[in-house]
Amino acid sequence: MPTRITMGMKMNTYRYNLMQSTNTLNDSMLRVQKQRKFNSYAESPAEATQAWRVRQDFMDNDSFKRNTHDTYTRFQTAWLTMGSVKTHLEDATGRTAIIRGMTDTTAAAKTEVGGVLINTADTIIQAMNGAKYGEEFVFSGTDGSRAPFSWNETTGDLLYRGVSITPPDYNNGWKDLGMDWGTTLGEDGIPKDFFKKANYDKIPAPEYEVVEPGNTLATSKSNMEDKKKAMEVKLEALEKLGKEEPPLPLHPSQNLEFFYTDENSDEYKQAEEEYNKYMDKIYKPYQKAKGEYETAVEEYEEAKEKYDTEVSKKEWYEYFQNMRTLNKMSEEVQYADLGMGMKEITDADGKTKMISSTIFNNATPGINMLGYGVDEDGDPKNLVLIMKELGELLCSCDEQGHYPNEGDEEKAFRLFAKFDELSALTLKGYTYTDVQGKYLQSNETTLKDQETNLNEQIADLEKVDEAQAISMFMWDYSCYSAGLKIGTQLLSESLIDYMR
Amino acid sequence: MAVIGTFGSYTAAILGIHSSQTAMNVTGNNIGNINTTGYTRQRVDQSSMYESGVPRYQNSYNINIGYGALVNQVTQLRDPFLDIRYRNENASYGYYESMQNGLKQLANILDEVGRGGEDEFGIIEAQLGDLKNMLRDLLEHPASTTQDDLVRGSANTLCTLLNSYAKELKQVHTSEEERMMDMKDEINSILSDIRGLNEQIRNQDIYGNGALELRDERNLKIDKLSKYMKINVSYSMEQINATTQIEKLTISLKNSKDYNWSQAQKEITLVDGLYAAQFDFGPADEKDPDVLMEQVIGEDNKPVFDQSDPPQPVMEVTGYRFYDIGILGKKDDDSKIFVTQAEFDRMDKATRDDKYKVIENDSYIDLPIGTTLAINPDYNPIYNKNVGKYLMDDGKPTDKLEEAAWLTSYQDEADDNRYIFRLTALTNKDGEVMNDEVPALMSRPVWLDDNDTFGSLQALRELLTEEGEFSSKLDVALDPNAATKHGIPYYQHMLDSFAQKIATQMNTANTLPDVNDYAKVYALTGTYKEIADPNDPNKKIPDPSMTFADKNSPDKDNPDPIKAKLTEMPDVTFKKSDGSEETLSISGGEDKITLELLQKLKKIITAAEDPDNPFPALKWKADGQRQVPDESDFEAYQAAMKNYQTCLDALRDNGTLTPEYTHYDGGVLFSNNGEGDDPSNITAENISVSQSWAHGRNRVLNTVEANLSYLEDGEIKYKDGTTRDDNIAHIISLWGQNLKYNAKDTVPDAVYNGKDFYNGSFQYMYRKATSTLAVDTRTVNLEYSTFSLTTLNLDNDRISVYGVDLNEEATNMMQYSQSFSAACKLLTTIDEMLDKLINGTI
Repeated sequence: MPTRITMGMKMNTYRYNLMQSTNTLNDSMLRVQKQRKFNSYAESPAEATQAWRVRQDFMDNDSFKRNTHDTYTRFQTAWLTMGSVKTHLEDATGRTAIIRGMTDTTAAAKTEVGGVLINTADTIIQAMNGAKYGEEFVFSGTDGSRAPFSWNETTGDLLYRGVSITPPDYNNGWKDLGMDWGTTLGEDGIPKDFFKKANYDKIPAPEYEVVEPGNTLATSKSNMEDKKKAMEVKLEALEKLGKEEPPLPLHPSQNLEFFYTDENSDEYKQAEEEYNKYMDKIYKPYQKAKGEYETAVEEYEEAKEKYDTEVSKKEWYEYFQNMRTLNKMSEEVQYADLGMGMKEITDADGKTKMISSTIFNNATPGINMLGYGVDEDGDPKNLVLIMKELGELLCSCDEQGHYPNEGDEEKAFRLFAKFDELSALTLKGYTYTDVQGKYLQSNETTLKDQETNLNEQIADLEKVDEAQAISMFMWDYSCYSAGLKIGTQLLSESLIDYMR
Repeated sequence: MAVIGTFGSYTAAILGIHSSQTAMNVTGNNIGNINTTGYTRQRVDQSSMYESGVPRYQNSYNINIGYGALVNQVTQLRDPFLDIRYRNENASYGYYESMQNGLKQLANILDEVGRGGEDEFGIIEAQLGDLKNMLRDLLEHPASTTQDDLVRGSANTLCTLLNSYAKELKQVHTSEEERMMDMKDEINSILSDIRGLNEQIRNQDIYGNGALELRDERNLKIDKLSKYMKINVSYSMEQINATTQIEKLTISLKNSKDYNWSQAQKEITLVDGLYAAQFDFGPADEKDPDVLMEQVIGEDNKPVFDQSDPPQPVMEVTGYRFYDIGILGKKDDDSKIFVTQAEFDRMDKATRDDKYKVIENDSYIDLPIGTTLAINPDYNPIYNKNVGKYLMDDGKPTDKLEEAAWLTSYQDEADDNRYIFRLTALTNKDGEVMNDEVPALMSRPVWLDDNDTFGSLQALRELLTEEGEFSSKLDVALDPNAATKHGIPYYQHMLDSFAQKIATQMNTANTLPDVNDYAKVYALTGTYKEIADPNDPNKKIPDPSMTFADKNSPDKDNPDPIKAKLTEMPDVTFKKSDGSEETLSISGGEDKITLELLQKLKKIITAAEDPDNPFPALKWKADGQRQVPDESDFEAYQAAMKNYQTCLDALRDNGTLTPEYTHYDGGVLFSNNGEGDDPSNITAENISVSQSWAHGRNRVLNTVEANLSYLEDGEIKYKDGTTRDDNIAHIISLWGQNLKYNAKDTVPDAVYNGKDFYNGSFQYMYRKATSTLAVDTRTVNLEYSTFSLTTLNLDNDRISVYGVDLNEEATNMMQYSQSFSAACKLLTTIDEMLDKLINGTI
């Protein structure tokens, strides 16, 4: 006996199948309309997850691309500025001018070239300060809101972000002090064991560096001031005795005037008495006061020399302390996330640190372009300062074109050689910005390619094949229509229709 | 035939006419009801009428011939086996249908595939990407306040979206809850209806009426019920008097067990003939925080009850049975005994003293009324060797009641969104309890296990309660699979966990972590003071004696707002771990805050994390607040926390940044409300951009490094870096880091093996919530399709048996029409025969 098929069953099944057919048609319709393979996560969790990942990458890529372009523009500004500095150094305002000035025997040429060099140095500083990307100064390292270089109006020092990079006066103690402190500069630009030997406990050490107590600027200053006071007291005492030094009279015995006068004569005795009186009352006290004053002067000068030496040492101490700050400024990093996988690691102390290979460093500190520090000769390792110094030296030549001091010519040649060296540093900076710019360009291109690639992946994962989607829709539509047709036939004739 | 009279032949013809007429009527009824839902086709049961006796004067030429057709009854054609199968599958169908419906609502909120405008990057997902990209842009332009504003704007949008998603989830929860309430009413109505139908059918049965239509109606009700829960339907014969038995319908919950005192485990009965239970949700009212639940095991590994009159459990939950007890006593043999308060009160003193020996301090232990005792359902002899003992928290036995274990996990659940289904005692329509005359057999209320009902009711319960990895100890005890089931609370917790992690990570990264560091950034006096670290002479630490002196305003009518703030701060008195008390006075009458005080307040707040802290560890309560042993301590904790925030605010408003940190503009970025800077208890619903960030007092902190120092004329000077961006880079790197998510951070009583439930980035964490939903939805969709088809097929199979078929009925119609005609013909023929015999023969 076959299964009974009743009208109710047929209706049940029909309703169920028609609903399925409607659903399928609806899905196909959505696919065609939205052109998506899936319209909910649940439809295809695996594909949706994959698509989500790709979309995340796409959003990141978009940001990387934009920031790469920004960074590129920043480096382009730096590159252009360095290009202009390079031109200054190479043409008539720079190297060529120096050669002309140094080889020309006329005084006019030397002073003119000297002036040009000083002006060029100023121009370079202005160019470096003028390099801005948006509101940010390109060469200020991580202090982009402020101009990188400035001149101290009082001392005339060149400052980078407020910290002096002009070395103290070479003639005021460097050579002598160098003997004491060691003249071999370390990699950090600081004489080896400098701080151990500096012994400055009266000057605060930045960042709480522990220094051994020792020599004191304050002691030598007070000593000098004491001596000066003593000297002034002696001078006052001396001046009280008379403005002019009293002459030394002759003793009657040596005075020809009394050559024939008897020693026992009254005249002689009176003269002798007057002599003694003068000597005791005027001459000797003056001489004594004079001697005391001269000793006080000597002592003062000695103390002053010591103080000056201390001041000079202090200046060098500060200079080398600040060198550490400048070293830090030179190494500062300004991070940019350009799609290199920015990631941190945690060191043994639990401190997190950015992995340098995963970030791009935006910072182009100006001191890295122009140089800073001092060399063993006490000359600044800064291009602008060298140019200024050389310029001033050339300007100081007399009408005959002679340098004022012995050794100045030699110094001029030395400075020229160093100018060349520092120009190379600047060229390196120029090349650095160029190379970074090119890298950024290539990164941008890669990111653009990546964008296309990701777009394709998104399309592959999410977008429907239109031909397939439409044919599926047509098929589903036909099925649905057929289903409806069946519905009209469902309540078909039965035996009852044939009964009479 | 010969034995009947001459006119007896008419009987056969008449019976033939009658039976054909009846059959035709039944056919008509079948055809008429062809569209009636649940109608079971009927048929006439007829038999040949036959006289089996031998007449005394029987003619030897005669043979026995029947009297014609006799209509015995009209019956239904139904296959009970198919009903059982259909109803079983229908429960699964109901489960997946309800589950699918619930998940669809969740997907409407959380599924972001194809959403988010033309780009289709999603909503929150796109916003997360936007915030990250805004941070990257800030990294590119760290000095730009505009860029910081853009980051804040993006963060604000993210917060708003999270708030809105959380609210929508809450809304879904509320609507599902309402659905469950409606379902409860519907179930109760069905149960009452079945009880009523049972009564009607019974009455009809007594009078021999088949009550077929009533049965159809009952079947429909049962079918409906089977969608809500998995049921067993059985029919038995009930003896109603010495000679009569009638059918009785019993419906019970399939696969459920009713643990009762006698250990006779039976299925939980919903309907028993004229009695039916009603459904309810409990035990909201039973969840008394003072409920004492302890394991008591007797010498025979059974609970120590008065065997002659054992109490009935009031609640049964997998793992534990709960009894109302009032009095606990000790018998001569030292075994324990207890009865209800009412029973105890009924006893005379002699009986009491006989049965209940003093056990504590010369008196009975008088437990609070309603005290509930729990025992293991299997009388599990885990502590076999320690019979008769109470068990403490650590599992060790004790004789002292006050040391007995509290099932704290259950207590922790007191405020949880638990729905324990409860069935009332079986009652008839007049409200009389079944077997109330026999106490031992009297029907009692029954508490259902989490998985006792299977069907749409179960689906709703799971949707409303399941917390997945955030499940508590009790959740897992009640349902070992609880940790893998994801209801609305799971998604709420996931969003909360996600919001908390973002807020915590960003706030931490943007704030110096320790109060000492905070003091380092803000000099309390305006002149920052340090002392040598006693542990390391090369290090310096903030001077704890530094004070922040309030700016005393000379104008009394216009007091300094900070002073007013400080004056308002209450003193806090804490119990220390050594039992002593310490009072922290904030204003101290001097209107000043010391660093030491700040540190103490900080310690109190972080007590739970620091083992060396002198203050007792604060535990989390289920509602997200911290729990302390003493409620007054909890209040003190809250006051301390508030004071700490006020102190920090005052410090920030009136302190001075130390020269090393003049650049510092960090602080809390995300708060639990937009009107303050409180980073505690952040959820998806309340996460907001902090007030300080919104007002520009806080910014995304560019750097955590101290300013660079240098010397100028013998003096230390500091140089900040306006475009430093190390901290922004750190914050961005957090977005790429795999961060650990622990369920306990969000739901303090979560167990999840104590492990982190997820390790991934912010975006992947959010994705985990949506992907879990997608996978669950997909599974449910597949199951739903399967079960809808299965139920369809089974229903068709049933209809195949009980459904009306027109062709068949038409055939019957023709057949009965013919037989009717034939019977009529027979009548006229007999008439003719008799006419011939009577009139033609004579």
